[in-house]
Amino acid sequence: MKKIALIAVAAAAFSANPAMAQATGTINLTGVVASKCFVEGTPIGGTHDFTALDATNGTMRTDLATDFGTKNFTVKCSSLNPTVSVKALPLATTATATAGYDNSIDYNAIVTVDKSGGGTTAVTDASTDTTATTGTVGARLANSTNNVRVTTASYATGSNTDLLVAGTYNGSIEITISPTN
Amino acid sequence: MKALLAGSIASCLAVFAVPAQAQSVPGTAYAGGSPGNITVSVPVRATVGSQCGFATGKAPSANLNVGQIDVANWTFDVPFSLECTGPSRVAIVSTNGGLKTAGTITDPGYAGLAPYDVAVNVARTGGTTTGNCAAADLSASAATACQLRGTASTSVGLLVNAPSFGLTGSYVRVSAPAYAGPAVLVAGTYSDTLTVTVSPAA
Repeated sequence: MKKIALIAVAAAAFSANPAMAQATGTINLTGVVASKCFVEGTPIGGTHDFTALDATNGTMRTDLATDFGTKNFTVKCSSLNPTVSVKALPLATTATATAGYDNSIDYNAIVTVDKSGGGTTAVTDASTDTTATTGTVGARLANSTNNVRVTTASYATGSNTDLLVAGTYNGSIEITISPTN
Repeated sequence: MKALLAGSIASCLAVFAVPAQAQSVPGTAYAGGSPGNITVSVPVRATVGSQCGFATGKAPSANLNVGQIDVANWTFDVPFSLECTGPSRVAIVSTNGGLKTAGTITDPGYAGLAPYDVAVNVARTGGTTTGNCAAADLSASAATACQLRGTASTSVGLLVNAPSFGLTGSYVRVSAPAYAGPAVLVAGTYSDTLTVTVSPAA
């Protein structure tokens, strides 16, 4: 037994440059994703032509909301709880309206967005004022197609009996979806 | 010490004894007599282990800012140099299995982990050895086997089946196209750490 131990000592004396243990290097990577929102597919926009705004009796048609329908868009945001801002501008013509006539149609624009995890958030703006209405989604925007929908409602002239003056009426709905920082 | 050395030689004789020589050598020497000395032959055998590691100051080491990972493609090469006198193995572990942002993302359709690719090019005697894996396959818990994954050992890692000693041209390449979904990457800072090891191969 003693000899075996001595053999080991002798063998060690003959070894040289033992194998180096594993060596290590380190690479650190860092990147960033900015807070942003972007449209996929159809840009938010387009034109809706009501053609005739007046009914056969000269007053405003009552089916304009149905005519406008629902406009679908797909928006994606990298940030939590984006902001939705809506401003509706009335349908108006430059022709002068005297008593019993109207040259402007007010309405509400409603932007409804889908929330991640379920549910929706709606932001409604009336064209009767000049201030945009702003709200937050309350969650991440759902990462899905057609997650932003635009509808209209409550079309009205000054009086239900007002006749629409002849002319071309133009209005618009401005929608801004912004990321949070 | 003298006793020890004697013991060692005696032990070596016991181990490396060459029977033919041992039998031809008389077992006794006589002062002033014949034989007057004994000649012994001690076969000596030793091995030199394969030295292997990164050249001094030339281990892969870098802090890379890859920029906006969802906007532009990115590629970086991190050079290194081996000092391996024999076959070696190179292996890598990714801490996160991708570029990861803080927190846990549970919202459906969103992600906090961005994929990228890792490739290794080792200049060796007679050519190069290459390997590549997705970073996801380099995490310690990855389900998919990848030749680069792990901590290098005699049996783990990309096999470089020839010496590579002080050669230039070896590098770790990390790259990715601009992330394009389908999940949306949440805003934030993303990071990962690659640990690269080299070991002698079996």
